[in-house]
Amino acid sequence: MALLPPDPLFCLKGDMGYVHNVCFISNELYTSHLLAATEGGFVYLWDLQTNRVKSKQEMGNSIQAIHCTNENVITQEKSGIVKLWNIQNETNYEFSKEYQCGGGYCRSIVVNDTVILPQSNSRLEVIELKTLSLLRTFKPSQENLGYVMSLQKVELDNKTFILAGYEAGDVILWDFLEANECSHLKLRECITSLTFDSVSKRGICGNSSNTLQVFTIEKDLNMKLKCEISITNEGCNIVKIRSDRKIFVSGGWDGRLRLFSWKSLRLLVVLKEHRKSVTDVQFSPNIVPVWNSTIMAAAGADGAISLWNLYN
Amino acid sequence: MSFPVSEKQNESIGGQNTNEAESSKNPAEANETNKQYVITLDSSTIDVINLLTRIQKINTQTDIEHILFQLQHLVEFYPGPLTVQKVVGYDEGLIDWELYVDRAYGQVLDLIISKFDHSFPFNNGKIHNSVRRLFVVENNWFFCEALTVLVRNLKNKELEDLSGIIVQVIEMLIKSDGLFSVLIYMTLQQKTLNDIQREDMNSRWENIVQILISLPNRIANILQGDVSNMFKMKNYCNVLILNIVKIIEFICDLCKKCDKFKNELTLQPISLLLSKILLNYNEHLNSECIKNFLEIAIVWHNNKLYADIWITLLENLNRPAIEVMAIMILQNPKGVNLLHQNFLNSHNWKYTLCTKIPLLSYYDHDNITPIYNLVAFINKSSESELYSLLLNLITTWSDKSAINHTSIEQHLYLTKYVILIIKFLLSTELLQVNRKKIQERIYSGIPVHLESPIEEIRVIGMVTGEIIVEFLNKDLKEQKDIKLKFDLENLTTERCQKLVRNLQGIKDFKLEINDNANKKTVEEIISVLIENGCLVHKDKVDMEYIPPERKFRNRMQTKQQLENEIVNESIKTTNLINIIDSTNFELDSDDDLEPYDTSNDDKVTSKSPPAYLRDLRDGLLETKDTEIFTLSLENCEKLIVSQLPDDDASMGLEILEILISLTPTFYVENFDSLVFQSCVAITSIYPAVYAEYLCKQFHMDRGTYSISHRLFMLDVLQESAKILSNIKPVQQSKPKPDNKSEKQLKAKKSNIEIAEEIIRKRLENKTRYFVRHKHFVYEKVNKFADVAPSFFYPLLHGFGKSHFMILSPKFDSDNMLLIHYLNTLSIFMCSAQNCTIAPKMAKELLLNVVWTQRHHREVKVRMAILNMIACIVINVPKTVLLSEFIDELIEIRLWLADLLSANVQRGEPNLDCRTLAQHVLCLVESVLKVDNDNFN
Repeated sequence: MALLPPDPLFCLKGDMGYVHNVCFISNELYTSHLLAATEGGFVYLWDLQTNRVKSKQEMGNSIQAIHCTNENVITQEKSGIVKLWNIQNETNYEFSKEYQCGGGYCRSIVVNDTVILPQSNSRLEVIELKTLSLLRTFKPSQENLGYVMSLQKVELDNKTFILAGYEAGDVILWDFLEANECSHLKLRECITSLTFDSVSKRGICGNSSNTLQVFTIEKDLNMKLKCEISITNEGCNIVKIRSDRKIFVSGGWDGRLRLFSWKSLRLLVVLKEHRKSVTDVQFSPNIVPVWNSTIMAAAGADGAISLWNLYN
Repeated sequence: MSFPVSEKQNESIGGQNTNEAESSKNPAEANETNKQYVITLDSSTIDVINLLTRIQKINTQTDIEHILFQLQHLVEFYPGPLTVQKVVGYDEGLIDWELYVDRAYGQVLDLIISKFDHSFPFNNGKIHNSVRRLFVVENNWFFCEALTVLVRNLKNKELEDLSGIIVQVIEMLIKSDGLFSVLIYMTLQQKTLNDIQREDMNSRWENIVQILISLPNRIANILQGDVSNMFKMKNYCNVLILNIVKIIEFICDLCKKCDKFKNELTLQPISLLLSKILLNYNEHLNSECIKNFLEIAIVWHNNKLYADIWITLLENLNRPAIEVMAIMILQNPKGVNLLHQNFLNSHNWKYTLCTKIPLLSYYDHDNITPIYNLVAFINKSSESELYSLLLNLITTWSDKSAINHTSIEQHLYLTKYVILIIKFLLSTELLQVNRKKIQERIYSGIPVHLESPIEEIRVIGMVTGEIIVEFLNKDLKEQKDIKLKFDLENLTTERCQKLVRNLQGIKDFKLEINDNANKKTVEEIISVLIENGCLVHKDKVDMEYIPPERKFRNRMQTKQQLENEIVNESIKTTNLINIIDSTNFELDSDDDLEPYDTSNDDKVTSKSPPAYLRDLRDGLLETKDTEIFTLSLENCEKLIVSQLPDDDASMGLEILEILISLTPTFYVENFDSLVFQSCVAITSIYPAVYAEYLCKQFHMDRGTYSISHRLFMLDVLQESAKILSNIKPVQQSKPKPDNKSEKQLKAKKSNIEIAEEIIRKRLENKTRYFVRHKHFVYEKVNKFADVAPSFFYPLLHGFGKSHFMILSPKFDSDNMLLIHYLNTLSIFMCSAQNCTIAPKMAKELLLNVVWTQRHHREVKVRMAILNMIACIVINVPKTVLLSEFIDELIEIRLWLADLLSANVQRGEPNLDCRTLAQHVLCLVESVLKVDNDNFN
């Protein structure tokens, strides 16, 4: 008989409520803190050494995404307001600037000192991180794509591309610098998340159905749907490939984390820690000293963040 | 229970199912050879009726499932969608539905309506499909019966709370093609009936029309204005008109295809409905919907077939409706085509067009189109009529008494007719005799006008005189140059000059018809009707979802999609990984990652919380499914409060029994408080029964319940007593606007507004009010008064024999229980304030409890006793205390004084207790002191 599913390393709970997004804070050597952005508009700073809340700051309303650089924190709200905060000290952030992008659930991503944001009419905008000034706009040639739902950075042959997933099920590959559409792929509708492995040039797309779709980007930049993985319950909020390319995770509306082998796409384990849907999954960039390992953090709508150490 | 169904029926059912065919054709034989259970229309109807009679009231989800199961069989037999074949009689079912509806259908509906409640037949806003199919049957007989039954039940006082649900069902019924099926039946089948049948059918139809027309008013009355969009007058009209349009289109199509139907049509029923619509839904003759209908009619009129039907339809309208229709038609610039020359042969139409409208009514006179249209129509139909109308008009016009007694507007209206008719008549040849007659009357009329003291009347007289004389003389050579000329230039008031221009303008009036503007096709108008009739919902299921513009496109389906009982099974393939394109895509089957057991990856099904007390009971006893248990417990209090008052007390007792000894089988947040609140809720509903039960349980032998359970029972009793005795009404808490938005609102206010507010407040402060009662106190009835004995005596009575009432207890826990027990009794005493039973309770407490327990070893018990004395002194009225308790009070006073004495043997050693005793002593003395004062 196979092993019973493991327990989490730790479960961070508190008065957080619905957690939308988490972000690890690291220095060169190790990962020390975790930021959690919540529906209530508070951002919680968890100390991963003690597993306690270090500080809690109100930074807006319904924060969908949070990014952290050495000097700045960026928050993106559901209403589309993007705020830039200066890090004063470890626990205090000072508001600096804001920028308006299209509202919705799509999380912005940070690519080389720029932030890529969803905008209305299926457009994307690239803004400079430090100044929040608009650099480029990606305007799709097709109509009726719907909202931008998910963004993912792709590196191919030392060139940066952006994958954007749209509500209607379209995925478009954009040239990051030239703002060109490189290729297009139609997948299942209501895409919720995308992830990509630049080495094998394969990516996964999660959507509202009970299938995950695996696609590839060929040499000529054409995208092709390669295979579909069925999962038990409908709805997947997040898919993520771990940087060591061993496993990938899907976090579902059913509150379950499913870990798959990235090579064989086999289901490895189903984790039922969360009681409501899983909203975000992040892998720590560096080792967390307490656990002496890199860890995975999964945030849920039940107001908990579970920490895991699996298949390392 | 039995109802004869025509013999034909069995055969028809046989047609649907071969098994049944065998058994039905020869039932006796079938029973012998085939013991298999066979469902027929009869049997399923009897089953449904039996089931519904057996279930008095839906108490569990299982009841609903049973009903649905039986209904499902029944509705299978009912006629399906209305088809052309059925309408024209090619696909006549062999069942005599009229007989069935008459005998059984109404009964089934009545029974099912009596079972309606908050979660049946609508669950989460969706109706169970089989219930929908039961009510909405596209068949003439079914529709009429369903509508009648539903409307009758709408008036039923017992079902008042559920009228919203009934209205929803009616809405579905009206939206269906049922009305159409009745209309089509009434139009096509009449010829086949004999006189009695026809009479019967017509009276039935009149009833239905009456119900249909009055429906919005009835519903608005019942729901007190809170009606859905469809049942608003102006929207509902569209629904009815739409059905008429539909039926006309349909019969035209039918006649086009097959001529024989032309002679079989009976249009009176449609006319009846149309008449009622015109009269009831046409406020100020301005109904958008009827205007649209006329637009459609105008388009139709180009086709001979439609035109014929249209004319027959109009001829059959009743007189009041004819007037409305005529006016509506005349107001339409192109409307004159809709009137047929034969109308003047119809008595009603002739009266309306030639007398009622021009002579006896008054309509907005600024708009000349109706006047022009009417005159043009009569002119076209019959010149003699026009002439006699003119004579009538001029007679009235010239009549002195008429001028004096009618309003100026009315007179002006008349004048416009006169001018226009003259104009029309003179363009043709007019006989000399007639001309003379007109002339005479006009000439006699002008002086009458000029004598009027009202300037407008004089002006009307002058201008009309001028115009008419000019017209009359135009064609006569010898009088061509004779003109009447008044000095109109000198009119000073602007009103009069306007009047002059206005009247002179009439003679040159030309009807402008712009064909291009607003030209709509019939389809467009129909879609407007559909939209206005709220027949399509923006949020219904039958929408197609296109993500980008967030717009919903409607497929214009009149059939509702099945709403309930559809389970969306996801595609579950046994093969988890499905490779679509294998070129350059290989999966490495060999990795060193060891999988865990994934059997825990089960399907998530969301369960709904229990909707009935009996389901709740079962849910609380659930030992396998966490979700059911959690949901049951979370919804427990809500369900009890909403349903237990209507249910039997024994049901609550059962749940209470489960709750007091409930162990948290599964983790539920706030388990203790949920259980506690539910218990309190139960106890507050039938306090006498449940309080006695709780007291009895409390006094059970040692070992029956744990200490914590007994404490819990006391807590429940305490809390219930407090709630019941609370006389302050529950404040209707308004949702407070959050401070933020208030601040923003304040910031937005301009300076003037702020200043105004300050002034207003000052004025309010300085105003003297001469009102006597400024302050009213609203209080509730003290419900505890009635049930206090049930709380108090059972709890007290276990006293003597109960195990823990020992002065030197064996267990510490007994003391704890005793203290809690004494406090509970004190709280009952407090709750009974102002109740008639209070002195009796006080007596019992003093004799049975205080006297025996006041020397208890445990200090906490002594303190509880002191508290109890305080409660008695405070809550029993002073007069009663002095008259009935004086001995006891004096004795208590002496005892308290002893407690406070410095003597170590007699005095109280504990400091807290001493302080408390001091306070109580003060209290007792304050009562006794009043006594002294009075005596002095």
